[in-house]
Amino acid sequence: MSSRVRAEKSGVDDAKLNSPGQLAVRDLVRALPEDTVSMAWRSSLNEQLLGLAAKQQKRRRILWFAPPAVGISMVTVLAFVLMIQPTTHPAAGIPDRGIESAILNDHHASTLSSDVSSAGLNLAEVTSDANETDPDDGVWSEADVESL
Amino acid sequence: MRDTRDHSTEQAIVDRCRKQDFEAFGRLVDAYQNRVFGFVRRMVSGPEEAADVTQEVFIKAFQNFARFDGRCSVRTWLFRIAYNLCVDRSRKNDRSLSEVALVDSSEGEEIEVADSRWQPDQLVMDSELMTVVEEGIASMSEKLRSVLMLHDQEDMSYEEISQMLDVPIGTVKSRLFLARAHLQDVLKRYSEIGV
Repeated sequence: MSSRVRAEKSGVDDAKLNSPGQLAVRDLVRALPEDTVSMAWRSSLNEQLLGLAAKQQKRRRILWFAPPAVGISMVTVLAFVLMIQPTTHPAAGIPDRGIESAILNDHHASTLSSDVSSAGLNLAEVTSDANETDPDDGVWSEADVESL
Repeated sequence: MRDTRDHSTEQAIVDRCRKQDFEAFGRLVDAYQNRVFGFVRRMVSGPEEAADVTQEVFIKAFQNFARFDGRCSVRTWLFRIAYNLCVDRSRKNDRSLSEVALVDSSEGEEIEVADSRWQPDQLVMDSELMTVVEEGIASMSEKLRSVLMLHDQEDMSYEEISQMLDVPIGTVKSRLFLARAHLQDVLKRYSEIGV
């Protein structure tokens, strides 16, 4: 550290600062007339401050309205998405749209029948007779049990 | 009693300024505009620049008032803004004033009051003497000038100046002593020249 910096940091006695010569200079500085700003200066400053105040108020208004607006928008979007979401059921019937639906229904029916009848039987052998009562009807006989 | 009332009034204005109350801020400007301008005028190169910088001080204060935490007085805060802006300006303008050399304090001389135009107890100063003092202030370094103005003209304490300029109190005192010694020297030469 240079001697200059060291001397500066160590400070000066208050006694020296309060010596007559030092205080005389202090009084001179105090006696300097006060500066005054012009009216034009003050008007210009007021104009700039008003402009700033208006900008700040606008920013505050935006910040005040933004969160609820964002919330409402999100809820609206979510509701819209949920409302238009299509329901999908693979087993449901395909809506009637002419040839396309006929082909698809036919395919669907053949798939189901082959599930029921398996590869060994043909479609004709698989009949559905509403009058015929099912002998089983959910009841097992002794022959059924023995066949297992 | 008056001090307490003044302090509470200023505190009320400060609280309103924090809420961006334009009218309250206007009152603050009224209270400090001349003093800040006087300080800035002696820190920068010309009166027009001083006017611009002083406006900038209050604009910055208005923009950042919400951040004013009250740890120092409003006056100290405003002058700190002013000082920082002045330093930035002089760096931009690259003003290089000769630094007053550090002198041994024992060499400090007492000025003799030979010239009748200079009477320290006079409140109204002779305009010629005023010019000499102003020139003496302008000829010293920024570091000395700022401490001299803040202490002797603005009546700030060593602690306030130390906090504001971020230097130790010992440094504040040294700079004040040197600044006054420089002015003493200028005045001595003026009184010796005599007219």
